[in-house]
Amino acid sequence: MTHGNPLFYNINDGGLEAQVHGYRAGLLTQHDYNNLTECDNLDDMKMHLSSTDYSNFLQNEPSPLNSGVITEKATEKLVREFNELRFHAVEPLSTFLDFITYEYMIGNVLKLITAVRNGRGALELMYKCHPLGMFETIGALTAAQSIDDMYEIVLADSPIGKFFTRTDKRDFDDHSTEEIRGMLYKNYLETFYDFVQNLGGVTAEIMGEILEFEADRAVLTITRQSFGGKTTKDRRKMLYPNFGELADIHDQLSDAEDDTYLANELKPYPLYSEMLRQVSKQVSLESLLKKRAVELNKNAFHQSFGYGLFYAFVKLREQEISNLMWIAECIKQDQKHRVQEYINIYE
Amino acid sequence: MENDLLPQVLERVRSPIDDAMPILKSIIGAMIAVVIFLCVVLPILAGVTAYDIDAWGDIFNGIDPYLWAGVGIGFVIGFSVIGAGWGITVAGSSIMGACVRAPHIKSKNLISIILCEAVAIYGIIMAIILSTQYKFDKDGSGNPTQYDYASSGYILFTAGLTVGLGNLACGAAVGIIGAGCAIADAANGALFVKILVIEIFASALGIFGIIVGIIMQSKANFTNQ
Repeated sequence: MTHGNPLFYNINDGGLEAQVHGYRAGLLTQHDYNNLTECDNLDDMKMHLSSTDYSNFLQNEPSPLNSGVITEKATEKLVREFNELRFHAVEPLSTFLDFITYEYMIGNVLKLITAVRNGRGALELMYKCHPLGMFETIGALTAAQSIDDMYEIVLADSPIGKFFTRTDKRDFDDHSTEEIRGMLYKNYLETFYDFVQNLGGVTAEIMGEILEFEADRAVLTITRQSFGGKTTKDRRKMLYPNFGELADIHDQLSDAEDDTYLANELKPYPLYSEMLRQVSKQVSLESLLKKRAVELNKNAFHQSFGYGLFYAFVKLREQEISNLMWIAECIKQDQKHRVQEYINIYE
Repeated sequence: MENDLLPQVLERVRSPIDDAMPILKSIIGAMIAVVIFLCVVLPILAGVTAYDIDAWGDIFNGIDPYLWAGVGIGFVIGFSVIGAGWGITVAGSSIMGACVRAPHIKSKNLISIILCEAVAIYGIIMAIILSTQYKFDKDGSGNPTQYDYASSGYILFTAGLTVGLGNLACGAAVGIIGAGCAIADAANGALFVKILVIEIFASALGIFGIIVGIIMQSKANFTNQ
């Protein structure tokens, strides 16, 4: 009974898969985006959104809206849909869905770590945490004074404890937040990648492609962020996820100190060298990578009998929420000439 | 020293997944299992310790032709119902999921369930037809030979197996296509008819088995009348 066999897949996961296909059909279309970008104020946006799948999600909000409320409510909708899937899921889909939330948990913990380091109260930051990344004991993190404390008290037993070190000697306070983020994300991606490869079938095929791209994206981001920084070559290489298309040239990439060198090293990889060539003042590499990620996530819906589409749906919905945020901000701050710069999902 | 400070770096060797070897191994394993069953298990069960080619014939001869016929009738209804049930499970779960956001598809997509159900009906019809051949020569008027008995038993058994396996495959195929049909219909109503055509082709597969089965069973004759 291999995973992804059409004869057995639907017994446990067929209903949820069809449900996600339905959710996907509820993503905003190009027509909706055209309407939204024409709006003059946020109440117009609310009216247009009420004719989409969002329906009356802003009904109870008082009239002068701000973009924060729109994203908050839209995220609430995403979380509601996700939890509906999570509650009905059985193994191994439930573990797969948990893996999706780990990424948000890592983001939340890092937010709190930053707050503790800067000496700001972590309590008010709790409200800014992504609701998908909440776990039971996250509240206790606010009491900790240092990251080692955090690890000892809470993180070791939390769902993402396994992405922290298991050696006896830890001294997280030696490392910058960005480095900790890199390590956690690397461990997360590698564990997730091994998990989907063990599942096999369509899941391994689709998720493998997506996660390899995510790994490459992490490698490129880390490399470009550490240009001219103090991070040594070894430390930088330590943060690279140990798989993906660029795995062969990790050694060379960890040497890179500017874009010219990077472009030279990336020559054998047409996708990334083409992206790097397109980078200009108007277009950042991040947005090009995001576009590519959206492309890959859309492809996940083209095959049945795999888990890729669960991941893809969350990512596409998240992208849609940040699009809404961008459009709302542009409208609010009267920057309508930049409103078209959102990432198209369905053209 | 520095390595100790860092979060554990997961060192794993990642080699590409090998799909061919497991399949080859399972094929070879199945072949060995069949050989062992025929050459070791069956002779031992029949009380033959030394390997003897004639023993096989004895084993099969020892089984009553009426048992063969009965097992055949059981197979045809059993496999057909498994196929139909399987198809309904696969299609039904997808239809339920797709109904969450697009409730209007539910009555249209009942046709997938009905096509699966038809497979079970084929099985019932075939089982009834085979049962009518299951006759006894009570008054001795037909005077059937040993050959008539044996051949009739084998015919009903193989006819049942043919139709049963055909319906099993047909039901599963209809179910999987039905699952896709529900999802496609929920996304875009224009696709429903197009996928329904594919589904009907899959559903026709069961008929092929039935036709062959009916022709086969017409040769069976327990009473030689």
